[in-house]
Amino acid sequence: MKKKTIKSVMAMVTAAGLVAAMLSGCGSAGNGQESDGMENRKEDGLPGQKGDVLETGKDGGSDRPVAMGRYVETEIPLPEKAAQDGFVSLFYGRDDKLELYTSIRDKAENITGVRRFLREEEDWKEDEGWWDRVKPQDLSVEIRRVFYGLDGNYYFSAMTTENGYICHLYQVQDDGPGADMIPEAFQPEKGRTYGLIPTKIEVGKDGNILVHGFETAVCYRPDGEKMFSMEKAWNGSSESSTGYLTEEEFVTRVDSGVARYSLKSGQLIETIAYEGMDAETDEGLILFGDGDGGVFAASEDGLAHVNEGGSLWELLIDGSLNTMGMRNMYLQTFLKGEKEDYYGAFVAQGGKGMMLCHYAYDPDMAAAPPVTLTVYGLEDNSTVRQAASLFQKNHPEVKVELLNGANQDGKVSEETIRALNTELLGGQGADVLILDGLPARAYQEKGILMDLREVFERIQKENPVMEQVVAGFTEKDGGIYQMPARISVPIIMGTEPAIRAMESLDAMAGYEGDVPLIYTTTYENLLRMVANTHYKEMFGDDGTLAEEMLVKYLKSVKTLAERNGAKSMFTEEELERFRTGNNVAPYGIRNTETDFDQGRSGCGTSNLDGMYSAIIPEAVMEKHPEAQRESIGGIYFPKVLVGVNMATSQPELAKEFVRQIFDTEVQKEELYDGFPIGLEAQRINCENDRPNYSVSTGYEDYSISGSWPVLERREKIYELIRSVSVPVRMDETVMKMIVDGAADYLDGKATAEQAAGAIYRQIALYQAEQG
Amino acid sequence: MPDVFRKIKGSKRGNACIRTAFLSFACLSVWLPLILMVSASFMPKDELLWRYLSPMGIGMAPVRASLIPSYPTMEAFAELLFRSPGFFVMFWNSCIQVFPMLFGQFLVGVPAAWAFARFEFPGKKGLFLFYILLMVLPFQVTQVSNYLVLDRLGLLNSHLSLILPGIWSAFPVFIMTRSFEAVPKTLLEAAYLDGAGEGQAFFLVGIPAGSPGIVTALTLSFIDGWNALEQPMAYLKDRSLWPLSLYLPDIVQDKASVAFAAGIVMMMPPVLLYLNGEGELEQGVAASGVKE
Amino acid sequence: MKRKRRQAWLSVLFLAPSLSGVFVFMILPFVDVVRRSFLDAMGKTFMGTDNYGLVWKNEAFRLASRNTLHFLMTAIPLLFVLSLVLSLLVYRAGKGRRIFKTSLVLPMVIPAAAVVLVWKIFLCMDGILNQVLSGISGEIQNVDWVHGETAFSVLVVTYLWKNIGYDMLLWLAGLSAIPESLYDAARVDGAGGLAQIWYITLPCLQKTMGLVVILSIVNSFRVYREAYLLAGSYPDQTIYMIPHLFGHWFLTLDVQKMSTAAVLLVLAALAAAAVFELLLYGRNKERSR
Repeated sequence: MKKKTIKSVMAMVTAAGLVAAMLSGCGSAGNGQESDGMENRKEDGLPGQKGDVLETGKDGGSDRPVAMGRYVETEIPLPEKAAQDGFVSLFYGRDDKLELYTSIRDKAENITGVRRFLREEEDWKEDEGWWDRVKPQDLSVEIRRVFYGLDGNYYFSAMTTENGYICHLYQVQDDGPGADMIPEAFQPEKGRTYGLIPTKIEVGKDGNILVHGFETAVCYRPDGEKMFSMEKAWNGSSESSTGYLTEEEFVTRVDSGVARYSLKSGQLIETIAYEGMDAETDEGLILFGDGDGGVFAASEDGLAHVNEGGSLWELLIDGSLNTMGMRNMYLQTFLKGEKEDYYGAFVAQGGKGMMLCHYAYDPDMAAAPPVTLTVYGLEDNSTVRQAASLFQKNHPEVKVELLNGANQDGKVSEETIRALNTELLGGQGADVLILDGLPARAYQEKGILMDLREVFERIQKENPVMEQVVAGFTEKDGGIYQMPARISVPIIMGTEPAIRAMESLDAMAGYEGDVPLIYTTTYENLLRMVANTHYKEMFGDDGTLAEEMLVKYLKSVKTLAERNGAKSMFTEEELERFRTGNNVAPYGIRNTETDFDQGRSGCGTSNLDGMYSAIIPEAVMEKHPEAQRESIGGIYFPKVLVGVNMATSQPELAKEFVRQIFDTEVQKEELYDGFPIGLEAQRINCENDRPNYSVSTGYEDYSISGSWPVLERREKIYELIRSVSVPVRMDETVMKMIVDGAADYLDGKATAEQAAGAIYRQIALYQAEQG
Repeated sequence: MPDVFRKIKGSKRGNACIRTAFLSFACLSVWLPLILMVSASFMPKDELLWRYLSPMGIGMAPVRASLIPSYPTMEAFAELLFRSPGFFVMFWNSCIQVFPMLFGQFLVGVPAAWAFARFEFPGKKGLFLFYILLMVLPFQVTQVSNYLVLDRLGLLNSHLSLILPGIWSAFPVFIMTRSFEAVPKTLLEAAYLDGAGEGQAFFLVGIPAGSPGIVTALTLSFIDGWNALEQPMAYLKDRSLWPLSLYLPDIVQDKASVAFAAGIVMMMPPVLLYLNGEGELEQGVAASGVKE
Repeated sequence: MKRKRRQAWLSVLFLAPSLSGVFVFMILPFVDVVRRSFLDAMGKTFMGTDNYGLVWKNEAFRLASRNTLHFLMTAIPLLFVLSLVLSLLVYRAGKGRRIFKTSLVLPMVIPAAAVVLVWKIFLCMDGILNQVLSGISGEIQNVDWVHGETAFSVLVVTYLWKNIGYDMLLWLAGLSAIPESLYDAARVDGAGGLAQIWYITLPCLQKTMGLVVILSIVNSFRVYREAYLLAGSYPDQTIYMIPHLFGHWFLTLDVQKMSTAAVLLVLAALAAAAVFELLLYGRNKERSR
């Protein structure tokens, strides 16, 4: 009896303990789960409910009464003179007038002056000669930002570039040039060429100067005395995104939330959690106050607001419906207007293409567009987002809902695909499917994908894309079920023998040279690279892999591995020494142009994803006139594969969306996810010059740098892009089987035949399943 | 054959020794892994990395096993219980998904089991065989169709998608039937003689007499439901609805240092339940296996 | 007799709640499965018996079925015997009985992912088992237990480890229902330990045997969880079983194949049950003579 009682007591104590712990955890968990999300503003029926819920395709709002009222974006025309200028600042100055500052640029994109405009009665009035009046006489400076301090003075920050990079803060004087404030704070330390480059500078009511650094904001008295510093999160170098000043407080961004500091003491008052505010995500988050203690946050998701003392954010403006959500436009500043309206300033890439937008509430517009088009992809994709934004602009009655399969950690698992499959089987699922990472072939065979041949016939007539790509995705019966919107092109750089060596497996194994053909890398990368670059040889035209070919492949890889010291995993020390990586490179192709440059390998490989990725390879090629650069057997990797769900209830709309993705407007944007296949877009990109864009890389004893290729070189690159014709789509399951099965052989624990046999049997099983 | 048997005799003491030896060996095979798990759950992260985590892809080879942590710490438990809100939500979800299911199984299964055990009706054998068949079928067989039915009913992505099908699982009916079969006829006869109707016989005699079987069925059902993997994975899209059983496979990848602690914590409720119901359990299983 | 008839009517009442739900959640889906076995993947076109021919000849299906059968034929008898032996030992163990019982039942409760964690530590290339073997043999043993020929044994051992306690409980219950008087009588007749087991224990346990076998089969499909976590989607050829295949078919939307295979499996199970029943029936007939 006693034992039983003891046991019962034990059980209850444990249970009680667990429940107690649970409730305490639950408290924060509950709050954490809900208050971090964003809520509908139900009274006005404004759109937007975020969370990591995967929603199904159909528009759920069909039963509810249509909510009215939405913020509508209109573009504010720029002053004529400033049409080609760069954006500097936008804010409300003295007399509550909206002021715009733009930078005058010369051909080389250097800033030579600043223009000041005041907004009066729907028009811009220039304050001519402003810059000449206020600029310092003794130094040549480049303006960074202009602002109106809470003490009633105008200030501007500028950089000198002659003797190193030094930042200066000037206070605009009524008479004469600006006064240099607290110069000591910005002086470089001994031996350095650059001083403190703040992300933002602000001036408070009592004239105290708040300097935003990367991870701290420091408050100075006007005489230069340092008062205190406050912690903040790194959020890039974009000036507006780092926080703001009110009379009493400093509000800034910290990990996972917004922090409020007291300006008197520098102490933290509170942190407001904000889901999605992660120090690692992109920089474009702009904070500003509402004048009542509440906080606004503007980002690509839209404009959110939290009341003073509150913890629930509400989404006022849905960024996905306007420019805010466009990936090709970078939000520079966002501010509250005078009457429940807002202003936003954007620039396109390279700081060009300034755009000013005004957001006003229209109570007669539906809160959310009545029609929803759903687009599903495993991962977030910029090209698709861009297309969605443009599509919505062109079709204001449509909301494009972007759904991602990846869970909140960004991981994709079999469950995700299973969940999608069950939807598809049930005759549901999104209208448009982005097929990267999905079993597209199975979908095609089962009749899930719509035949898009008419769409592409029209596209080829009106706004053609690369013909060979279209051909590559046309089935035997002429049907087109998927098409890549972007392509990634691998290239090889090296002397003649090295390039020839890449042509076949035997040639690779037979390469003799002082240095290995392929630079040191992991087994997995090596296996993947060789399989991808020799796809045609290995898999033939029908996609089958013979056992003998497998043996040949394994032996070639082993030869390469022996020559270049490949391993399954490198230790820290080896990583340092060899300057290689353990992570799996896309398609196994690491960018080894710098290794080739240093003479460590017979050839350098690189995966070209856009003109920006060609800069270093170009630099390397310039240093090696004896080397050539070629595509590898004309192969390319298709990306952003677009397909339409047969079960969609809006086939015409879905097809329109497909056309939008392949439209020049979308194709021409550099979104860092591959080259466009639209010919017109390629031409525009080719002509696009970005003279200030330079990249350098290296380590202690080696460095190389390059800048945006000149027109001639750009044309050559595009020639190469246009020359490719072989789409490579390696089945990931098969690839995994090969990688796993080859490990033993490469380590010397099995023979090639054994390993090949095992792999072959597995692949055979995989294929038998589909039989 | 009988002669051979007669010749094999051992001393009673010797037999006991051999018996204990065998049993201890068997138990060891259970205790070793458990002790390893428990000790690992008290190890700090670095030690885990050094000792055990190389098979998971992180950590340093080779495995250096130890039954005792070098620096025992509650770190893993603390992180699990206090700093992972996801864990608690999942714990709650498991509770929400399992306990109502057990309740429903009781309500629905007990009468059915009684009917199978004590009533005669045409097609009884066939129907019972059918129930057994349903029980034996692995989940994957009806997975898609189950999904579609649940979808039609609008139950997907909710706790009900697990509770409702679980209530009608054939498993508890099976166990309870056996246990009800073992209720002595005499008890029931006595009740009838006292003027009890079928319903009264069922409530006042049958259920109490068969309670060990009911406890058994529910305990085993609890264990099954608590550790269920396939159904939640298939029917629950929202991570916020996931039960504890799905937590482990996830974190083994990411936060292996917490995995051991999580395993221990996850085991606790079924173990405690078992310990509590042990006495009843034994009787129940006894009843369900015995022929009269 | 009136009672019998009344009971027959009452059974409808008693069974109604159960049957209604079973209909919705079990029968309906199963009927759908049968229906789909005659259609194409998306459920639109009628395929006649094409699917059956396809699946019957499908190499992957054959392999998976063979392996599943192989596993059942190996693991279940082993489990049967081992758990029976253990239960006999525990039954007579006297003092430590409770501890032994509780210990052996624990594996049943440990979640699959935790088991696999420990297994991986034990079985990986630098794992405990290899280290122990290296220590014993003096040579470095680097066997990959999970892939290759040993995979099957690993799976069987996993299954045994997990379920021995479960089945042992069942046996114990059965054993405790056997009246001591029978044993006493036998002892008086001069029967030794083993004879008692053969002539008294085993016959009395017949009904328990049925229970054990059925529940063991139910649990055998659950071993897929450990198999998947240990050996991945495409494990060694010897442990590639029906759940693996179904999982893959689902990823490629081959629902029609899944349905067809499901129907085939159910038919096979029914056939096996029928055979079993006949054997039992025959045996019973023999006994009652």
